[in-house]
Amino acid sequence: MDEHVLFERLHDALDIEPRPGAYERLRIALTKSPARPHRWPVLRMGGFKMDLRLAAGVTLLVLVGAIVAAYLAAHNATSGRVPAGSGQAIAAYQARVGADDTQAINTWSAPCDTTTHTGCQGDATRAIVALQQWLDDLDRSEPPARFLIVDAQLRLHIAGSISGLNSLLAASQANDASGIDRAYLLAVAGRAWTDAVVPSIVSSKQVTVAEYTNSVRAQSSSLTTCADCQVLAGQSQIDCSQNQDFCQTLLDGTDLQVASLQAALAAFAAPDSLSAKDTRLQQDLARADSALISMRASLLTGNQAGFDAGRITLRAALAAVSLDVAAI
Amino acid sequence: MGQVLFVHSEADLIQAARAGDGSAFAELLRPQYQAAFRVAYGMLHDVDEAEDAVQEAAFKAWRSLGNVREGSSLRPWFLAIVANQCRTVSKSRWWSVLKVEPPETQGRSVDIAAAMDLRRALRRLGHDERLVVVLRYYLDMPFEEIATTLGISTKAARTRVERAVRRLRPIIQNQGAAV
Repeated sequence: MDEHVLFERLHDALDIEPRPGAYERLRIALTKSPARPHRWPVLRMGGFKMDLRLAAGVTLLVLVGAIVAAYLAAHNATSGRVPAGSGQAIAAYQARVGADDTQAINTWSAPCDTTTHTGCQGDATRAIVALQQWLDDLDRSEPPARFLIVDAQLRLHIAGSISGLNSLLAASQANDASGIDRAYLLAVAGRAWTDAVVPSIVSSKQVTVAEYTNSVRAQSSSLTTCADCQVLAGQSQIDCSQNQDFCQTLLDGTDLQVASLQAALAAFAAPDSLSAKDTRLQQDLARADSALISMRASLLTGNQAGFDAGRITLRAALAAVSLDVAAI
Repeated sequence: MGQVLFVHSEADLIQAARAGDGSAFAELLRPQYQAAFRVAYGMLHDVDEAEDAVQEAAFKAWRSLGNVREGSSLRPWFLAIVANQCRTVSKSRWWSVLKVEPPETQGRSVDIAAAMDLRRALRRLGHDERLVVVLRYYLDMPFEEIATTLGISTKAARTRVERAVRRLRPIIQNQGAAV
């Protein structure tokens, strides 16, 4: 779809000005309201609110510490020195994953245009080489314990993208326009996952119990209330042969929520006291994620039975995720 | 910024708003109001709800004004709050998929059927994908600003837009409004 056309269509469909006086109504409401903004620490507050203020203060200190640590890690990496202790393996892994991600994105900055179907073969071929290089780099060393589970999913998504790009190449050679579109969606699904999760791996830091719990609860509530996830993991029959776009929509919506929670867990690594619960949550999310990957592949090949089997796994995995979150 | 800044700088207004001055906060939002309304209308497709969502978001923003870092732009911060408010409104609006309203074209010559098709197609997108389409093609935002607003990387914003557009196309075409 041409960007300019979409721009014009959207403006035609939605262009509307606020009603006269809309801003004035807002101004009057704000001026008359007794509401006041939240302020930073007010020492006269006591009890629970005081605890929250203190927690916020501690959080701020931890964040400042993490930022300083991240700066030092980056400085050490760029100056050729490596930090001592267990942070060494983590920093090295983060640097490697970040570099490979950048390389993969750079070689696939303009994925083939599925409107004109031009340049697909060259784009896909270059991207496959970069993604394979990424997989090879991951294979060369063990991931640190913190990234053990997310690393396995990263490999699956890279492999999924390679698979999608290979299908895209085949469809392109066969001049199969709809095949190119379907394969593109499989390839870009892997990229969407890495776009969401890799920055979290790169910036990952261990956080306090309160920070971890808040992060998990905030992100998991989106997953719990996600309408696409409920339909996809639900019991009602979904016939993808009759409505492939609908199935694609459900997969994309669910994928986004699962990846966002995986990203949150990577960014805000669990404190040691919660590591067992965090591992369980990551494992169940990985099960859901793997089910989504296999469902995408099934959708591409028109394998309804495979898609249905993926839904059963997804249902069980998301139910387990809910229990895991409740236990944190 | 608006005329008021000839009298008060943004920093003065923020300071006054943080101290509880509602009119100062309203002045801060004045230049953002149009964009905020567009985000809300693009997400909710209802003028009254859009206006309410912006107002509710404004109060939430005021309460969290202390979180705004000095020197950072207010626009992406406020638009993100508006978008979150729209998500909240949408969640409580179970009937939204059933509601069909005529497009409000304000005298512009448009293909009403095509406009309705596009609005329906937008509603079929999830919140996050609809939001990036609105930000990109309705507010004409560059990817960098979309990324700042959503708190994601620029490349993630680009991917999300690409995927939403590719999702939008078959939906529109299936509805008989080929683009």
